Amino acid sequence: MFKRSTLRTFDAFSKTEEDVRIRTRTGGIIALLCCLVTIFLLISEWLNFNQVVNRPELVVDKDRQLKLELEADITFPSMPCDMLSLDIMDSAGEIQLDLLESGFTKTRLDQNGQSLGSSSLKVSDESYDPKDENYCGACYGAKDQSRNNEVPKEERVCCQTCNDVRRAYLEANWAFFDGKNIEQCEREGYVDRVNEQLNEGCRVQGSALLNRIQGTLHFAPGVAFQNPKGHFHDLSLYEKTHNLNFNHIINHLSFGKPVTSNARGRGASVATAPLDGRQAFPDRDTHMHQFSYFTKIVPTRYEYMDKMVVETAQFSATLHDRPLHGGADQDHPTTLHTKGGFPGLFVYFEMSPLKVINREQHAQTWSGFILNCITSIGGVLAVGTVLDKITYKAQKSIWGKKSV
Amino acid sequence: MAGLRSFDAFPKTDETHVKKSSNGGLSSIFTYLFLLFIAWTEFGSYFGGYVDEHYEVDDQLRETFQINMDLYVKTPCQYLDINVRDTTMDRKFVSKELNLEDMPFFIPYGSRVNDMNEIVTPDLDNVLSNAIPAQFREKIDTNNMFDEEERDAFNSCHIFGSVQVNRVAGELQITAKGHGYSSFMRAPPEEIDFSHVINELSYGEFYPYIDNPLDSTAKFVPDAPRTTFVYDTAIVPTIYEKLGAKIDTNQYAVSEYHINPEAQQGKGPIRFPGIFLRYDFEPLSIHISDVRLSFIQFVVRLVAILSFVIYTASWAFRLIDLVLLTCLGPRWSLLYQSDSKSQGILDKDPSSK
Repeated sequence: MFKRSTLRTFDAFSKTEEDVRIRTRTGGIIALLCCLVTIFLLISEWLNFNQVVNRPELVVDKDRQLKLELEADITFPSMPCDMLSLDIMDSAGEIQLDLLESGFTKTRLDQNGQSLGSSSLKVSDESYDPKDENYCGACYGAKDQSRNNEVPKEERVCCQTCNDVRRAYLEANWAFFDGKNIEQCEREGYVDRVNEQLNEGCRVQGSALLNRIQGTLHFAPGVAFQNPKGHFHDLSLYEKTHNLNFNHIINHLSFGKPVTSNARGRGASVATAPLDGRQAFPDRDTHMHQFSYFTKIVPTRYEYMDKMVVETAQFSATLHDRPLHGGADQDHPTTLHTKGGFPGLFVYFEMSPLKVINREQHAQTWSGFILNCITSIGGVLAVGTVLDKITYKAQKSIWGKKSV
Repeated sequence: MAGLRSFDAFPKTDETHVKKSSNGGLSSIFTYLFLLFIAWTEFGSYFGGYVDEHYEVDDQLRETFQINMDLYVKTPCQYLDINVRDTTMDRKFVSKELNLEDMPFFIPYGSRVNDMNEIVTPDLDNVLSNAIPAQFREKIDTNNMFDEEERDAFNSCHIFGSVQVNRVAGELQITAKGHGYSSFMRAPPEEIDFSHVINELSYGEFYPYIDNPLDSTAKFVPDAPRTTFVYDTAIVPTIYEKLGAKIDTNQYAVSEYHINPEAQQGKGPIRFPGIFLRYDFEPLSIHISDVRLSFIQFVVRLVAILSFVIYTASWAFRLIDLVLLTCLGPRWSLLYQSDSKSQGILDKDPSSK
């Protein structure tokens, strides 16, 4: 054991007798200032401690066989709803045709962009009223009907509705236009309605499911059809009507599950939709024009402080547009655009193998916070001591000891 | 001794002859503050700061990006054709936007011939100090500067400049006219030699001093001049940020291979001699930033650390003194030396003066 006197030498905090201590006015002011600064620093430390930061982490995406949601809300001011079709094709060979007929609502717009209601016009089979059992509509040469008289009634080749005629025309690779002079279409009122709508616009809203691989989705005019040569659209009516084009406003386009309203506004909606609000209205004639967006999708997970987890996706995008006739245009004098294709709005998508996990965390831990507070207090006191010594010395040397 | 004294570059003034003013005191306080501020900018990141690296998806819609290049190709300019093809299937005539100048071929000293550069990942400070934006010079008409004989030695082409291309996956192709794309002229095969030197190849804004993987490398193939060189690059947009300075640039990974199309004839697809630069983008960009304490917090922490050091030092001093005192006797005490005037700064009490 140490003796008491020995132990005393270990005292790091040697005390001064109360009598020999000198208290000065400036010392008091400095002490008060120190208190204020300390309080300010402690508050800022507290705010810093309460601050929630987003710590992104990068992992390899190991999810398999999941579908990716697509949400779209796009306005085409000079493209009637009836002619618009949406197809999705991916590198696995899966083709989803005419998606606008399911899962999407089409709102008809007049020339000023006012809604005309979402009653979508369909070439429906129901309008055919089989009053006459022996009725067999003509296919106008698109199908071989010459043997109809020789075979029984069930095997006859007939085009009962406007839609049947249209299908027959597509299969024969014939231009259908607006169905004028085709009895079935005139009877169903299709011709009148199509021509009535030619000056209208269309707003498409809805969602679809994509395979998580590379692919394309496109809005194009006319009915889509698939034959051994590839994917085509019936452009006959579009090509005839020169005021139609694919100028568009992207109100919203996002991939992945929608971020719930609870999570939105907390940084979750950041960067998930770089194309939102984009308006494409080039000065030139865009009747035969193709707009493309190239997107790269990065799966993203948001983990919130309150244990809520949102699986969604972000994407980066770039854009391109070209006239279908190819060649150089005014904007790109040194570029020779490729020729061909069909008019429309194309979105190419590609998945990233990497996944981002955005985790909400406190900026500091409790121990870090306490440590920071202690260093702040200690630091301020140390600065105060130094300041006090300097001012004391300065005063003493300037005015002498008495005036203090 | 007296002779030596005249060499003193640091003449001292006696304390009594120094005149102190309150203005001078104020300005020295400002000087100290300024010094502290410089200290903060220089090593502020060591006090509670760190280099933050995170990944974000680019939320900006960008249509184009820039390729900066400076190449020597051992084929006269008139036979060269440069195009960009990308997934949009457009063909861009890059020869019209780049500068092409005839020159005699040489490989600059320090270039790595038929070899790759060592892989270096520059740190934040390195990048920021080298990020000086620049532009390529204008094309100079060299025809009038040299006479006929000298121009005969001009067997190669200096290709330099920046081009804007679509920001999608694509390929920049340097080929000989008539070999590949159809052209009015067909370059004579004996004039074609795709030996080349890459002085600079970078994407994004042009910062010539930032090192890129392909900078100052050369490919010299005298045996097979009509070789196909393919550089496959994957571009990762990178943002460096420190003290308010922000550098938006691109890093890239490169893999390189070359094929002799003449030796490969009949096997596989037809290839044309040339230099092919493929590029593709990563959707994620790396954001490297320097995170540090605010200036006030830095000062407080600095002083706290200094005072901590002083306390520990005084404590260690007492401990050593105690050891000396107990082991060697009171004569060795550092603390209670009767003959010394000064007791060292640690125990000096300002009020005792």
